[in-house]
Amino acid sequence: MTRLIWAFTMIIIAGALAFAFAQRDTFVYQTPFPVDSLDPAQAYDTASGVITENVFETLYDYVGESVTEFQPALATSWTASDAGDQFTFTLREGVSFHSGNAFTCADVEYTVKRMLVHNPSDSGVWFMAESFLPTQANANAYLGDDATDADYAEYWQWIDNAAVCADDFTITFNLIGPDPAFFTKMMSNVAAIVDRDHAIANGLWDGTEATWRDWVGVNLRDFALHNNPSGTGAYRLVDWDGSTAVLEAFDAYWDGVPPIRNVVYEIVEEQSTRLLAVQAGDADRIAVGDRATLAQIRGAPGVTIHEDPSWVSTTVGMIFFNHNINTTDNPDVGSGMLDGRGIPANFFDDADARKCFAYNFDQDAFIAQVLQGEGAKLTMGLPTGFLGYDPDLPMYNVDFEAALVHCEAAHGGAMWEQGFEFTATYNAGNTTRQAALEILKDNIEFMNPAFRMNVRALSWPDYLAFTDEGKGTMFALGWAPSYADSDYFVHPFYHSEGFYAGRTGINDPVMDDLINQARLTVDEAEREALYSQVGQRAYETMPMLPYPSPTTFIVTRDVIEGVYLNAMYSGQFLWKDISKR
Amino acid sequence: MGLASHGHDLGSGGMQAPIGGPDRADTSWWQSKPVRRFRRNPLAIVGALIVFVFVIVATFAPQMSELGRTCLRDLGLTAVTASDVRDPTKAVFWRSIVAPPATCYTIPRASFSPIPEAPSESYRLGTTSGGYDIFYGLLWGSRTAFRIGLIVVSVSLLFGLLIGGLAGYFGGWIDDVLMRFTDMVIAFPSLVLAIVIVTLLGQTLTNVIVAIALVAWPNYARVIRSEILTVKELTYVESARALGGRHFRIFIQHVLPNTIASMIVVASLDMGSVVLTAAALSFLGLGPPVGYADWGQMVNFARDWILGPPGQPLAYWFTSFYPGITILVFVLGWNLLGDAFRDAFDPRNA
Amino acid sequence: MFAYIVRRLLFMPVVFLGVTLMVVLLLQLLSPAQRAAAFVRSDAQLRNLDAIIVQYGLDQPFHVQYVNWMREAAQGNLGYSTASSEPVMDTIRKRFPASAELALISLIPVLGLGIWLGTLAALNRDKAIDQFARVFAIVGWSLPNFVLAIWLLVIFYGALGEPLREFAGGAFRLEPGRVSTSVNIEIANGNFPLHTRFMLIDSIINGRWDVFWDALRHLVLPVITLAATSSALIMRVMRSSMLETLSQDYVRTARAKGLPTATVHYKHARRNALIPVITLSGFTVIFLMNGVVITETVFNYPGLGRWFATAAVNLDYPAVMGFTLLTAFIVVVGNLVVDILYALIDPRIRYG
Repeated sequence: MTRLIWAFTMIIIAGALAFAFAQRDTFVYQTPFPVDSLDPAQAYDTASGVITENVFETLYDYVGESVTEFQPALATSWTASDAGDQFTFTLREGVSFHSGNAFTCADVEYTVKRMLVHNPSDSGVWFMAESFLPTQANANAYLGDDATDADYAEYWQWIDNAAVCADDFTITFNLIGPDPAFFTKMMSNVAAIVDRDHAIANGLWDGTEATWRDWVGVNLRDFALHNNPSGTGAYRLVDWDGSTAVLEAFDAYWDGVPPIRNVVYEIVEEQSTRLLAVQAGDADRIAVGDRATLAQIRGAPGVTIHEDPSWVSTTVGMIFFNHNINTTDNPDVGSGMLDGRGIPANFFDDADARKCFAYNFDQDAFIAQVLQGEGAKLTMGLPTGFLGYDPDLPMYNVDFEAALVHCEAAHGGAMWEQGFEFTATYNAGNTTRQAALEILKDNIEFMNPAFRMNVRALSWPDYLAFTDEGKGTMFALGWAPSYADSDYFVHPFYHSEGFYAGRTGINDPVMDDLINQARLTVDEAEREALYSQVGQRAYETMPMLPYPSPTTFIVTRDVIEGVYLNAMYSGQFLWKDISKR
Repeated sequence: MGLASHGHDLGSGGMQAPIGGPDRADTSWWQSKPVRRFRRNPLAIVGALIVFVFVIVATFAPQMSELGRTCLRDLGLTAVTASDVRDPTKAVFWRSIVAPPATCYTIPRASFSPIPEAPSESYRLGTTSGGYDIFYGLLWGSRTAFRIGLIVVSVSLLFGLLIGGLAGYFGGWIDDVLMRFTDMVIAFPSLVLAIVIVTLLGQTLTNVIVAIALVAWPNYARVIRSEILTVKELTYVESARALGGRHFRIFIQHVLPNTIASMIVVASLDMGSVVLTAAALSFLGLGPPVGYADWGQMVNFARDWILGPPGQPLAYWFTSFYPGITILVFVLGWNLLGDAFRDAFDPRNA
Repeated sequence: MFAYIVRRLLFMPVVFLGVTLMVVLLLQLLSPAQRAAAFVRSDAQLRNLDAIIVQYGLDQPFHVQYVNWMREAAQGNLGYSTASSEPVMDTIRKRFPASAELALISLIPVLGLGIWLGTLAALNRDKAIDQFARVFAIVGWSLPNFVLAIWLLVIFYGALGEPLREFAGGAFRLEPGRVSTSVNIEIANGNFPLHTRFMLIDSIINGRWDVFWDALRHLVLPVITLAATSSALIMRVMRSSMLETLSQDYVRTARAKGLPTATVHYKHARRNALIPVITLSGFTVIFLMNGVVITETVFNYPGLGRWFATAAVNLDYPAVMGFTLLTAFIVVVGNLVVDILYALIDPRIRYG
């Protein structure tokens, strides 16, 4: 018996010693973020983008770290009409999909039409749709319940007209009007070119008018492209089991086979586990929550922290003031009146009240403590480096004297006399947003003992529902770019019909006018000037308060070479560009 | 997790009804058999001591900690008059103990930096991620722990009394239905059920308490039912019934006293396990809001900081050590106490 | 006996109906907007909340949603889990074996250590070993498993990580996860076929001792965590049950007849003392379900518990429903098996 156990042990140890460790040709990326879907017309989250941007390709692509220089990818050249509402691309020949199918104009046409047909409400197709259609919504949502066949026929005409193939390698996009952002939109993950024949063979929409209405607004997670993608990218998906994704270099990639053979995208929720893994060499790159955490690995042998002062995050964090608070059944407004025990619905509609808060926000303390000294103050709700971002605009920072002027003037002096009490909200787990609000709280309560500002966390679902009902008084959220155009930030933030307007009750005709003009202007210099004016207007009226953006960084093993950061890539760089020593 | 909540009634192989008996009136309480057995058990003394220390800490947390600005404000104090809270002749001393404002449960932040700071003069146990004072969090967290434990235990006691009482007293199909339901709840992993309930009700301390109470009552129901079944057989109850005694009176006079011993055992063991479940919920991010003095959350804060800088792997040991050891000792105290009670009441096990 | 089993089996659908109804009723506390949160992962998706609610039918009355869910469930479709980005059934199929493997392997030390220590303590009543065992039990029982898990990770993966990597070519490294990345790649490529999805069994079937060892290494820390907290309970029950048996007449008789002490203790007494432990092992499975949620999260073990914890926080209610249903199933079946075992071991018990 004992001998048997010994034999067994020896076998196991022999097996263990024969075991191969971290492989030279494998890149393991550990992150806590689960992938939503691999169908470009469905996925709208960063984690999915990390996979899809490597599996699929767009017509043009960014050059290195620049978000304003472009290079040909699946297209080789392009032209736009003078009016800015028609774009023609010449496509690359000799490209093949992972399935083996050849890439032609039909694939590009199918890609555009299918996204407009499906346009799931939780996808990013809306910003593509607004270029081609008079709406951001899919046919069912736009036309409503009592739509006639004729209405649908008209909608189909828009779709059918959107992308037209002149020959196998020339495609023309017909826009509904001039759209200066269209070219960059075509470089977003949503516009990644899918394999038409592969999709149809796997049971997706067949691309004809006869069947399109069955496919409007469907949940694409229920169909084949969700986990069985075929793109032209440098990596093809081997397996994705809902958490771990394994990819392999695509041998027939048109731009040459990439140096790294296998890529593993691994979900590791526990940050400490990831930190240990990168030190042990079990991970080649890890996602790290914030800069402070770097203290745990800075200087560790075998670990490189890639960082650069210019790598300011393109996610804009914002403290929103609700100009028209829904006070019905709202626990956050206290008495609902300006009596020292609550706030009225129009509390933040008063510019002095908002500026009173803005002058109490200590940007430097935020950068020093929360961002560990590495961050950039924002003059307006636009990432630095985006067209029209004006670093020379004045901005609000802690200034008790200036604050006092506005605090005393707010609500005709009633605010200072009576005081107030309200509760600001953030989504649970987001410590950055929490800190921003608590820094503000500390200072504002210091001004006047009758000023009471509470801060509370809501779970993500509650937070969504609560702010959606217009009940959020003051709340923090962030906005990240899907394509590199300033309108993607300015419109949602500042326009009275923007995404946040329903939550903030913002209504400033002057601002709306500036944003509308910028949307239709093709001339870059003119647009730049307009966005700068938006920033100026935002300073004067202070509708919402941007808080500093962190400087980002990338943590890898030291054997990984070629790391760079392009803000428009979900993974910040493409896997095909890196190698492993 | 939830270990204890199932353990006791199985562990003892069925609780016997021990208190009472004819000789009780002769000897003093201090000399009664259970108390003598309890006193002789060194582990019991350790358990009682631990619980006693925690009671003191929880009671005088306002006096032992450096109160935050909002807490002082809501107590009507300023930085100058802050020492009034330690003066028993002042009303604020008693107010801070009996009914401190809600803001006092928010841990003051030394800074907003995510990096923990080692123990120092002003922060005796250091600050955890986010600049939260560990010492303050542990002191006031003991109040949270007692609050969760006491409320859950009393609510589930009432619930168990009701369901177990009905089932035991009426028997028949009522018993069948109620006990099947009880079996269903008891059979379910308590943490899993609590997670479901908290996520659906929303993440507040109240809902954590509700969720745990909803999974903790079946033990009480079972014990009470079996006590009633035992008592029902006793002759003096039968005679009381024959004399036309009212159901309720019989219950109060005969059933309830007999269950007290078992209840004390179950309740003291539950104090520990309830706090463990609550801490586990907090650890998973399903507890009270961030910054609320709560032990589970303190461990959660430490979660991202278990690893020190290269070369000093244990540099942030205080972030997980103090909250972890506090939970352990608290639960240990109650378990020792509960165990000692059981041994004292149930001679077969001693 | 047979009639009893049939009756218990008939009871199962009632339990399922009760459990699902309870979850659905609780879900009604949520507004459609809150339920839509499972589909909204980034701030950018906020804009279309109302359309998302309509698209996924979240505003339908509760009985319609419940009947729809039941109809689908009857066909084996439990809906789509946004937490795992695939249908709930697929996730259960993939992750159940992982959790089951962890729980079953944990049962070995849990039962082994518990029974051994419990017997030893009872036989050496009030001696040092008994005192030690009792203190061990009570401390283990009081230990918050998430704290233990984190400390184990710090020590074995953190502080001792480097030396363990150096020693014997890293054959004794203790890591989080289920298998090493290279095995994951082989699985993805189809070079390591998954027959049962129990990694230890599959590696034997495939004749891959390296993978067997690899999977074993990954199981060590989670198993220690689960065992430390659960074996305490078994030990206590074993001890008191053994004490009770030792005082029974037949044991005394056997001793009086001059049978060797060891035979009496281990052949006669222990067998009878095991009966309550068997009942308890049914409960142990439940405790393990609790523990699995925590240990899988900390040790990054791709099982059901981790999935459930994520799903619950994100209000991924098809996943919550599916997991609850599965738990109910395990609990009901587990108890049934224990009851049958019990009846087989203890001839005194007969069910009508």
